[in-house]
Amino acid sequence: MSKRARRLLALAPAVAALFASLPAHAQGTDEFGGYGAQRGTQSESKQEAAFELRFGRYQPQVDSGLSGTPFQSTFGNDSRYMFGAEADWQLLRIPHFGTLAPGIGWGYTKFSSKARFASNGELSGTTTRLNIMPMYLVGVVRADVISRDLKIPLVPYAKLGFGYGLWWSSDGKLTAESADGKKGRGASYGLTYALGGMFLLDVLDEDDAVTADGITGINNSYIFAEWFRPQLDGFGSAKVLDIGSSSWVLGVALEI
Amino acid sequence: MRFFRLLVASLCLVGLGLSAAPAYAAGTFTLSPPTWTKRAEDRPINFLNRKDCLDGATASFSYKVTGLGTNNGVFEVWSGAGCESKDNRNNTATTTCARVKVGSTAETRIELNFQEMVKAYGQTADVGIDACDTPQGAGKQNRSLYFVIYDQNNFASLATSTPWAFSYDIVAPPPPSNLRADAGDRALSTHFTPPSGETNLLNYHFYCSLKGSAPVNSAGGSSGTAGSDATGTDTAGTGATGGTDAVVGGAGADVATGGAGTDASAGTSGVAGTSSSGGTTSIPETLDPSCTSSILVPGEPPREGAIECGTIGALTSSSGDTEPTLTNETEYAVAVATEDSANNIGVLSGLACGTPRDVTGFYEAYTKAGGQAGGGFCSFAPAHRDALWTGAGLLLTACAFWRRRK
Repeated sequence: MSKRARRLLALAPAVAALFASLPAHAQGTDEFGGYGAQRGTQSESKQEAAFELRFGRYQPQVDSGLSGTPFQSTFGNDSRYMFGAEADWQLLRIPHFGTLAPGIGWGYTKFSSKARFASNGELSGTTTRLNIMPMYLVGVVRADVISRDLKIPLVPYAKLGFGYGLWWSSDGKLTAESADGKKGRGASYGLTYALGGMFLLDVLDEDDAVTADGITGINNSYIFAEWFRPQLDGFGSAKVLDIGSSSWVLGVALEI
Repeated sequence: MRFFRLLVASLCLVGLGLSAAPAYAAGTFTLSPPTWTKRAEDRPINFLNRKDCLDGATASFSYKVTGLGTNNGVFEVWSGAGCESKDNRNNTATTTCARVKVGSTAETRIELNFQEMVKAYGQTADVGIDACDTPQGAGKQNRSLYFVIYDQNNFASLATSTPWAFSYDIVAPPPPSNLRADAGDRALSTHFTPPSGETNLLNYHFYCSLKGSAPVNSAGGSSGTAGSDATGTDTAGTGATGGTDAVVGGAGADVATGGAGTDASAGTSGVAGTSSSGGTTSIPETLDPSCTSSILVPGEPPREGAIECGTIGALTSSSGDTEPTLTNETEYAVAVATEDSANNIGVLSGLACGTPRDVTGFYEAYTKAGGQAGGGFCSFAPAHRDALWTGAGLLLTACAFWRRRK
């Protein structure tokens, strides 16, 4: 029998006496929300998945390996942003460590600018665009032992997997073409990895967290910051557009 | 004997009752939904627009009247609100009805001209096409048709149908203003100020033509029979606008009757201009006075020969590109007309000119810098050989580690 179990057993009579002496105050929810419960594994519903909504800077490394800087010359250096979503299926819980999960993610970003006249380089009225849709399959490790056992509301995590991104470019209303007629669209692939930390929002209002769990099955809610590296360069292939990025992503996550 | 007395008394009571009743008993009017002729089919059956009015769309209603007895009264169809009330039909101070047609209870079908359904309240005579320029509020208007049979002595209703509600919008929306155009690749990129106060805009239509001399136009001028001749160039090279195009009509109802002569030789004044905005008399301003076209005339409907060079949704739009169908290094004029939710297309805005030219977009710049990617989503480029070896090595290492753990 573990030390913790022995402690619980020892406390059992005292707890029983306490409940016996209390008036009819039960834990639960009323029209004002949850009440009476302590946050802990015993009051939680089963946790099986995590969902993220993500937002962050995205700076594709298109110009790497080229003789010029077509991306920077066309779209400039201003920050552009990506939004996305991710879903993880938390298949495995390792006691006193955290969860292991396969995850699938999707994002989208768009770059646009006025194209330049071929003759004199001045800006024209035609808008040239590059759309990027990165996707990935990753394994996710979330070490929630810190929040569960040490009661510090932080969860570090890491992701590693395979990324695949679609991209397409247009000039005005038409799909862009090269001088030899090749269509400006394709797919890129490579590794995708990320490191991040989540802040457990449940600590801000534990009663509310209990209510959310009881009513909707949401176990935990977080905000997170993550260093995200989709390395979508075709493993170095010259025939793949390097739409990989390396940037910070912020978001909110729910575990249900 | 007692039975006989009761019978006589009953008959007397019935006779008294009949003599106290009005001349005709109240009847029942049963109406079927109409079938339309000369009306576009892409809108609900009870929603009509300016073109329907100008084309003379006609609704055919079938009906059945019962319970009127031998004297059928007067059968009329009224348009408006509350027309079952004789007060609203009889030109009182609060008239809210117009008489559409006088019918016959001996028939079972009646044809109603849409023009008569939208004429001004208080009108009882046929108005014809002029009704299409009846001053209206902006946007969709609502009326109902009332099929009424009334006593010609006291105008009291003997039978009325359930009102047949319909909507219409016979005022084309005004064009946008402050039109500007930037040159693009085989296209012009426009910016403009949307018309204000319009709540039911649907699309903006772009019309293009080669830049050229303006046609000889006269607002409110004489009828364009003779035609002063062809000046300017037109896109299709068919010559210039013929005729002195006359916009006949005064304030509040300018119906263009002159039109686009497509033949340079005669200057025939063309087909009757159909639409105008029914009351808008100011001519939209062209910001650059040197921008003219022999085909596109601000304040008039698009003429024959104008290139329909694109459409964009009107919702929150104040800019848009034409379709990339123009020829580079050629000077074009562009104008914009507005379409509302009733599919009314208004007159042209002021003009803007530009010369499309070849541009270098991102992808072309990328390929010029040595980039080789592209060709389609399904094109596959194999990984760099070193990366393949590295990946294979990592895989083998993982397998070996796994076997050792077992």
